[in-house]
Amino acid sequence: MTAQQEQALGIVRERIVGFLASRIGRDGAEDLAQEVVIVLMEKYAQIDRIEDLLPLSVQIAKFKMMSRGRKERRAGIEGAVPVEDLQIADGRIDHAEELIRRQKTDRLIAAVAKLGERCRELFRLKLEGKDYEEIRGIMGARSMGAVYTWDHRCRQQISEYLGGKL
Amino acid sequence: MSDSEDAKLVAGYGTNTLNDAETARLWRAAAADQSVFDDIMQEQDTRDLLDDFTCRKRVLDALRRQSATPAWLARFTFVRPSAWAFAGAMAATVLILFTLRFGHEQRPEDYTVALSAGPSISMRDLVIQRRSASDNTADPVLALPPQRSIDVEFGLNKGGTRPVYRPGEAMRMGFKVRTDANVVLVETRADGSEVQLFPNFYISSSRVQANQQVLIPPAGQGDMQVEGPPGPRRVRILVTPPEVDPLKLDRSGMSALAGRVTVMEREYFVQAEK
Repeated sequence: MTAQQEQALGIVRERIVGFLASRIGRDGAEDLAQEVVIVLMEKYAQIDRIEDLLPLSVQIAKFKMMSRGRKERRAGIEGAVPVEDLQIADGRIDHAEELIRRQKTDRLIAAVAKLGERCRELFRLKLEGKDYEEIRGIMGARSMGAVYTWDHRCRQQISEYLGGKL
Repeated sequence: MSDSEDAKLVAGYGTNTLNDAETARLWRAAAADQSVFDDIMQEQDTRDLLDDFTCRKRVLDALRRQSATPAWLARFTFVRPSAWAFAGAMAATVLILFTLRFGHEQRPEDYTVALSAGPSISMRDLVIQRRSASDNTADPVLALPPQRSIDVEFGLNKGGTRPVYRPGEAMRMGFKVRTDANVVLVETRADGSEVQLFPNFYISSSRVQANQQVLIPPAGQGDMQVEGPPGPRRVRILVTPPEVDPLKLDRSGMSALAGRVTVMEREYFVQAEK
């Protein structure tokens, strides 16, 4: 492992622990961060730039958290099913997941509907696949910084309308 | 939240708006500031949701409906009295078009294709076998979850959420992309086998031009007769940018394309033979 990679993995560990400590406890956060770092070391040994390692760590952490949730549910008494009844996943989205997704979409639509006209326009352009440079041209902003600031404020409003969580 | 400009890019992360340079700036900001990293982790939910074609389209349609109404009303208020008759006719036309376009949520199953008048061909004479029922290897085409980056419409000759076909019944599929792209259609059957519907024995290239309706079987051929094992079938449409050949990608190459491709799925059902 190079010194640069070691330093980058240290930052990854610190960020994940920092995010998760208040959510799942310090010990759990450190365990999960360690699992993420091990995956990065084993599977992505050739990557040493922090801007490449952090996005990977977010994805891995997300999957690890989902896996942790599944394990905890399996270990619990409530909802336990006999081993002979266990189903093999068929790869399709299940109905519960579909319902949650639909509810989240409804909440996002409701939050976006409360935005001012400029924010709604900006959000629409983003969903249509425009990048910030194109949005700057369409909306007539003087600089990219102005578009970033508009979008940042719009996101804060959406987050507020959503109560901080989608 | 950090006050730096790079930290503001989190808003673009959720909607997958950032270019490569902006993405690198954001992650460097996250490396330097825990609050930026926390914001990204929270924004991941929005990103996952909007990566799904159906969810993204629902939000976009709602936004379009909302932004379209005040704009049209504003125009009506500027019509001079001498032009009321003309404006009224225009308004009626616009309302009809608006209702047709935005009046209901367009779902993938709303797009249907017509059957051909020519003699039918067997499905097995068109498709390319990708995986047998006993083959357990992972297919790269199935690597990514449903998501939307490139506009695409796909339909069968029957509407509904899960149309039902009888063995031997005529079937036709069709799709259209808004920009030049490469497209692969793979069908997973109830016995676990997989066949490739496009490209097929009639059309060997995955390249598709913008706004051109592609039919399966191709235009000029008759429809295909449904064959194979009964039960549910899932058709997966994978659309990649024109510079990417999806048939040459392995699983990791496919995973690296996340966010730049469209993956849609549509189900239909084949009844058992009586």
